[in-house]
Amino acid sequence: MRFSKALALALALCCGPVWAQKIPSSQAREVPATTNSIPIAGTVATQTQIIAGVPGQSIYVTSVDLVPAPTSTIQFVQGTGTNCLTGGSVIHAATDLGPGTVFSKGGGWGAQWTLAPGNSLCITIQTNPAPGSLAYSLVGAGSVGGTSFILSNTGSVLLVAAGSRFLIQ
Amino acid sequence: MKKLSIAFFLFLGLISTAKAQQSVVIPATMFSVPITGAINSPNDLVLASGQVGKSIYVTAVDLVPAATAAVQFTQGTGANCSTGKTTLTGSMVFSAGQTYMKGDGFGTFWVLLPGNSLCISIGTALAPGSLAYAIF
Repeated sequence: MRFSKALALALALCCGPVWAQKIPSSQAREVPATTNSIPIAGTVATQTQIIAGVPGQSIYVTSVDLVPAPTSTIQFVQGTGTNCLTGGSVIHAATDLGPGTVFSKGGGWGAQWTLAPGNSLCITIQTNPAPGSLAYSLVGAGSVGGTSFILSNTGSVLLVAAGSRFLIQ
Repeated sequence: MKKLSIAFFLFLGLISTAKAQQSVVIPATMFSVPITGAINSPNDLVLASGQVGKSIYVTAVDLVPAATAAVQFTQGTGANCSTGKTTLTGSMVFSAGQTYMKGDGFGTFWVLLPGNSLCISIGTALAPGSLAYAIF
């Protein structure tokens, strides 16, 4: 009897959050956090790849900043092949950044832009330079036998019971 | 009772394994430093010193540069990050009215290589502000 109480207490303390909390099907199962960052030299150039896609994994952009010389026009695109030219689609429409403008989004936790699995991220900079930096996470996800999994680019795997979420504490 | 005990400890072992495999850690600010913003180019100024086996995660930064200030964040080892130096940002030249504000102290946007220090290069004009980071 004493052991049963101890078992129940232990389960409640250590494992309750893992199985007790359901999430709506429309809600993201994980919040991407930055695992990599890159500088953006900002040179005026046609559409240029800045992050290479990985088959089966999605790029989640968690933060980006550009400090353009006035006036610069920037655009972000995703796609495959050389410089995203295959199946490319616009992530952020072509935008003129005028005097006094800084383009800054995201604090590194949570995605600003989610790319399709396998797609690379490209940028176009026109007229004047727009240097800065960009942070991202590269994550794959799926399910096997009703069990969801999250595969990070560190190679770790988290197993989560179907319909539940894994809380990192 | 014996079988139950074995199952219990096996279960705890599995849970421990799962926690040990967690891959996503959200850095939160541990330290903050002022950036006086004095011109130091071409010798980068160390803002945060690297520690062996640990990475610096920048969680927030703000700069209010004077017009024409040229700012670049870099990482590396040794004096002025000069050994193995790589860039974290492009070389950003600020014009009138442009400020640089990123992050709120929870989550990182620049992940440095283990052991590397964080440096800043400021040229042409002043660029004062502050920076927050975690190291682990």
